[in-house]
Amino acid sequence: MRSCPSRFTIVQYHKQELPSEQNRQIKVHLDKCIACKRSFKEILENESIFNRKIDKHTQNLLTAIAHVKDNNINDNNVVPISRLAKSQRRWHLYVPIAAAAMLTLALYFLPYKSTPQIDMGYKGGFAATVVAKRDTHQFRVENDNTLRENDALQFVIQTATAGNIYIFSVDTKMQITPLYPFNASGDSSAFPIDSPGEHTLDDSIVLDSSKGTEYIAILFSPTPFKIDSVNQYTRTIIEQHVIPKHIKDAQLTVLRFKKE
Amino acid sequence: MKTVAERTKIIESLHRDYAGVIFDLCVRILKDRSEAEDAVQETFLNAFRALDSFSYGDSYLPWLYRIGTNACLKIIRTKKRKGALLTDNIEATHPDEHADPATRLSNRNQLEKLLDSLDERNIEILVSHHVAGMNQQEVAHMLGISRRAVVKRLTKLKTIAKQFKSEDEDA
Repeated sequence: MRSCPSRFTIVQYHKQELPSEQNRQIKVHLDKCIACKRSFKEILENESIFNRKIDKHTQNLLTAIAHVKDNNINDNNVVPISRLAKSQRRWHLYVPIAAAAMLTLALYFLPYKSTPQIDMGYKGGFAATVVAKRDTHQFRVENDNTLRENDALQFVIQTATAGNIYIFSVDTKMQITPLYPFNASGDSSAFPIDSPGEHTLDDSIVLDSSKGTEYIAILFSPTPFKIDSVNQYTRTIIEQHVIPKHIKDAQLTVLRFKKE
Repeated sequence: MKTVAERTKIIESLHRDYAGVIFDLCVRILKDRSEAEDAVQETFLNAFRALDSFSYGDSYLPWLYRIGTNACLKIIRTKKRKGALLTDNIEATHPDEHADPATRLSNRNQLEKLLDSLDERNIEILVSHHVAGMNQQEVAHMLGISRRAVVKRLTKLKTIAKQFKSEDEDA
């Protein structure tokens, strides 16, 4: 090694992030160079000082992160649908039976390909609300709303039956990101919802910095299904609101929003 | 797009792996362990917020270094002692082998004038190179710019430093 490595390189050496040959060279250099050996010792000392209280530091960090989360969104500050103004309610549990029956009949005869108007709300025993939290305020996300990076989205689902839920986002390049279940891989199943009623899905989704129009699709099916079996139909789901045949009993809600 | 839970898990793991060396960086910049601890927390909190924009390839270290440097600069700015702290540190930490006149300036006034005249990006480059101890290539990688751009900026800083030095001598 012709000259002394930078302090950052010594840190990389310490963290074993250098290629093996460079790692070997630094090791040889440190054995010979008093100044670099001193720097290395100083790095180790500072690290050691910090790590003596690492548990406390980690706990403080997690508390601070929780505070950030709380400032974004949590279960307690999501306004349940039942507390929204009556004019905002898409579906209310106490609607008269006759009205519910008429609505069900009307929806039964609707074709799977829905009207061009993209809609969030009641679809024959299933309703979904997306609540966004930005800084200190929250709002219900409607179609064509403009959202920003770091807006946190939480999903509130109302179902008349038990079933299975799958939520995914699609960007302008038709790139699919599974949002719920959160760690869904291709062969995962849709998330089971065991009972009818209102469900606030755990955790929230924080929007990234990408720009443009995106979609969130929420699929609710009485029968279980694999995520892969849906992903191949993304374009028709998003653009035409057509539900794949193998889950023809599923209910679909698509939300379109802009990201700035 | 990662969930809050996923991001928390990643940041917790990064904190366990790297907080110690980020502390070393912050101590070097701030020269105060208590403030450095605050800066480390701010670093990982900012990393949590910015995790979706991470684009440094395999290693999180350059990215955390950059966030750490900026967290320290923010603390310095907040305390309105930018000039004093940075000059203290550059004077204290620049080794003799660095031939850059910007760091050779021994007169505190010259240094403070130099730092006051720089924009945030140049301060970031100066601090990363002369205080955090990164070489030009590492600074370039961390900032996502070319090494040539870093060299150009450092050369410009050298010119400004020379100018201040000659102005000071003339006075």
